[in-house]
Amino acid sequence: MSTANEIIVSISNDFSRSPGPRLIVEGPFSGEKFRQDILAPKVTAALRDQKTLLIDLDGTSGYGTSFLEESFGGLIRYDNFKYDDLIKILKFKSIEEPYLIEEIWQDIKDACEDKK
Amino acid sequence: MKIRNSAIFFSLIIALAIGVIIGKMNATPWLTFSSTIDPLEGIAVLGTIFVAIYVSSILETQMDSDKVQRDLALRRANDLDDGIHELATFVTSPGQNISDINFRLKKIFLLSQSVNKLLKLIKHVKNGFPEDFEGLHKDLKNLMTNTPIDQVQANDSPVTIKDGKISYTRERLREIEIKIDKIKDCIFELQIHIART
Repeated sequence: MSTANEIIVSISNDFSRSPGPRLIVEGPFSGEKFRQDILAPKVTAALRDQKTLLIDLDGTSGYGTSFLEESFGGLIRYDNFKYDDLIKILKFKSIEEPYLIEEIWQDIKDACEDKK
Repeated sequence: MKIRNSAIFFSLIIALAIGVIIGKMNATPWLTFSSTIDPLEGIAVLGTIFVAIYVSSILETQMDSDKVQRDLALRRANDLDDGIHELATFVTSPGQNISDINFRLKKIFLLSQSVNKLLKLIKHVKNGFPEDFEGLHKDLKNLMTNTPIDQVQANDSPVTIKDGKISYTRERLREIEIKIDKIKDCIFELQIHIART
């Protein structure tokens, strides 16, 4: 459910309740597939329409380190989004595992540093 | 309930014994008791009795509540211990699914949060886990679920995933085992800490 100023992506509802590995070649419901099919198009839409993009992380059976790194670090690495743009539009919700939010921002920062 | 009944029984026995002793003392010629009661002293005695009963009942309620929360926290810590033991067995079985590993790691994190919440409810418990449990959990998760960014490096990776099935090198399995042992120690210290509370 999205609002006038916000696009909402729930990973458990919009992608999978059981997120998998990093890459498509490693198995189903990978971070790469999530980024390509859902996340990157939504980021593009949010930037175009000047909306925030809320990622709801709750409701899944859990995330591996690689899944999240590939999904969010990959936005910088492969989709060439800018760190400053992502800071403006991305918001996260995680009641179950709040530490994931910090971990994701760290992945984005690291990807940005590696690209320099 | 049993404890309360026996307390009432013993109180009655003690009151009876005091009555008998006072009766005997009253019969001794060199000991005299006044038959009048100073109203102020009477009020003071009643006030003291009221405060004693009130304080003891409040303390008893608090202690009962702490005991229930402590027992629940200990039970949760035992569940956490079971969870980490299950994970230790699970990880050594070949061909496990990445999402099952993710699920077990998440379950362990949620159980640790539950223990922490319960410990915060117990008034005189100042500390939760003796070590940085969240840090240990994060390290374990990295060891178990982090694969290389570059597919070229994947052949040398200590963690490989194919068709969603995960496998570890012998070296990585040892690293995981060591980290799991550290977490087990941390949980054991926590169990002792809760039991001593």
